[in-house]
Amino acid sequence: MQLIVNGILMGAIISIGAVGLTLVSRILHFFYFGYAAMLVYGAYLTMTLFNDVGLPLLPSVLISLPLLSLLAILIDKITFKNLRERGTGPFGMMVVGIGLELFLRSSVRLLWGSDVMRYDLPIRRAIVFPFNVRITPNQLVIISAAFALMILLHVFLDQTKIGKAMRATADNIDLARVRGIDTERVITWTWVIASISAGFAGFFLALDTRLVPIMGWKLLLPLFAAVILGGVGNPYGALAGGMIIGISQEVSAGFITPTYKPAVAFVIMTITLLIKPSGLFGRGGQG
Amino acid sequence: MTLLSAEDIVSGYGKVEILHEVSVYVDEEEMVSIIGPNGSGKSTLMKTIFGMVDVWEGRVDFQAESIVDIPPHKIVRKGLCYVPQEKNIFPSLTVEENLDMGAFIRKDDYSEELERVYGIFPALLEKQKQVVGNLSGGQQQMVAMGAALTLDPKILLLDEPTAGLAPNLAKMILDKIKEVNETGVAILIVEQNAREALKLSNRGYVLAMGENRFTGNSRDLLKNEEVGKLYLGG
Ligand SMILES: Nc1ncnc2c1ncn2[C@@H]1O[C@H](COP(=O)(O)OP(=O)(O)OP(=O)(O)O)[C@@H](O)[C@H]1O
Ligand SMILES: [Mg+2]
Repeated sequence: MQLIVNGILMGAIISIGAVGLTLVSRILHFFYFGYAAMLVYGAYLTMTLFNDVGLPLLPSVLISLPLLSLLAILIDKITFKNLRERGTGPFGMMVVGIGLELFLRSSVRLLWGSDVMRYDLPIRRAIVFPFNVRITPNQLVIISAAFALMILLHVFLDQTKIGKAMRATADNIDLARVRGIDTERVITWTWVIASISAGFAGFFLALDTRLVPIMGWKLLLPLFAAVILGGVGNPYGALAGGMIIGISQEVSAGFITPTYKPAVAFVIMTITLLIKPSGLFGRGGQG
Repeated sequence: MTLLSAEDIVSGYGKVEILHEVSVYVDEEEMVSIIGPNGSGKSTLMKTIFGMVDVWEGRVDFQAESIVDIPPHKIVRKGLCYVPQEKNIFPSLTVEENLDMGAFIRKDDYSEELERVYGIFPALLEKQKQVVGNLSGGQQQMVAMGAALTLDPKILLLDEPTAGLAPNLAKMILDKIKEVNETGVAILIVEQNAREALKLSNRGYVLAMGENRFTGNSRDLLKNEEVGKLYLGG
């Protein structure tokens, strides 16, 4: 029971992070490795605003998001926009993505150091639920906030014109242009959504554990697995995929050594690629 | 009145020249077919007209105004709609959402056009909420064309709208296209079912190796022995 609750917690974090990753990965034709740095920046910016500036926690998170978005959009305009215009393929995009990740990760060390840090919050006891399930108040906040975010993301992607255009652009960027969608504008919006997604996931992870520059990199594998499981470019698939990966990772810890947790994500990802490369929630015939 | 004209178009991919001075035009309310063997540059011509492939030489005019160097998302606003040969739908979006994306640039109410699309393709009505990637090939073609029709365009560029469809379904789609044309929408269509397409069209072009090979009104092309032998399958 405890393991399932842990799984839901982890799943919620992965799901929120995977939405942004799946959308930008379609646009960049490849998994964006620099996404790990976005998670880390989100967590650290929030920490600076909270620990050092002294803002309350929620405003700290909410202010870190536009900062993160600006950074992401700036990086896109400097690097990826030129590559897009030159028709650079997946390989070039991947290499640039890895380069950005390394660069940004070292900038985190430079700005904040490599020490383990945490949010200056009082440590509170876990609440004990029936079946001896223990959940800390922070974890409760994470789970409920994550579900609220999922609903907001759903409303945005499903009901708003720009949300639909974003899914359409992730599906087929050339056709989006043919249909009159200004795809550069949509891409800018996609970075905003990706920043919200990465910012919250990074913050949740840091709140549940602690802040280290490598935290984003470690979350990247389960995120990739969730994205593949859900079908690259499909945000709903990413949400569901994140839950599946999170729960199976944690539940597996009941049977195997917890050190092998990342391997679970890897195995699920590999099996998906072998059996159904388009993901469980596929993208259908054409694409 | 000439609605759309492409004159002496030279274009290609990278450094490879595919079209060598190709010309086509479409008058208002006309239906015009482009036929020719695989790889002759039919799709490239469509893409060049629509700004997806750069024009190296020559001109493209719509309503007597150059549209060269205008990006596709702005060309649509002028009243041209294009249905590509491949990847012409958003697979993870529903039928309804695909049609909404067709009307993306519209700020006004387009429920009338939607009704018209569902009227032309009633099969889509019961699939409204379904993800298009899971529909049959024929239904996907209907979605692609329907999305273009939500804009009530002055001209539709259709690249092989019946590709991969069973003959009776292909015939049905072609008849629907003629129906649309009869409402006053000009049509420039690339078709593999050359004979059928020419029968419905006013005029036709035969393209081969990136050059205009034959041009004329459909009746003459259908009667022309060489065209018949080489391009209409005997
Ligand atoms: N994106 C591309 N990059 C490079 N070359 C291309 C590209 N698309 C098409 N070509 C080449 O351009 C030539 C013309 O192709 P095009 O698709 O225009 O022919 P088509 O007449 O539409 O053929 P089909 O009947 O098979 O659709 C072909 O030799 C093709 O290999
Ligand atoms: Mg073609």
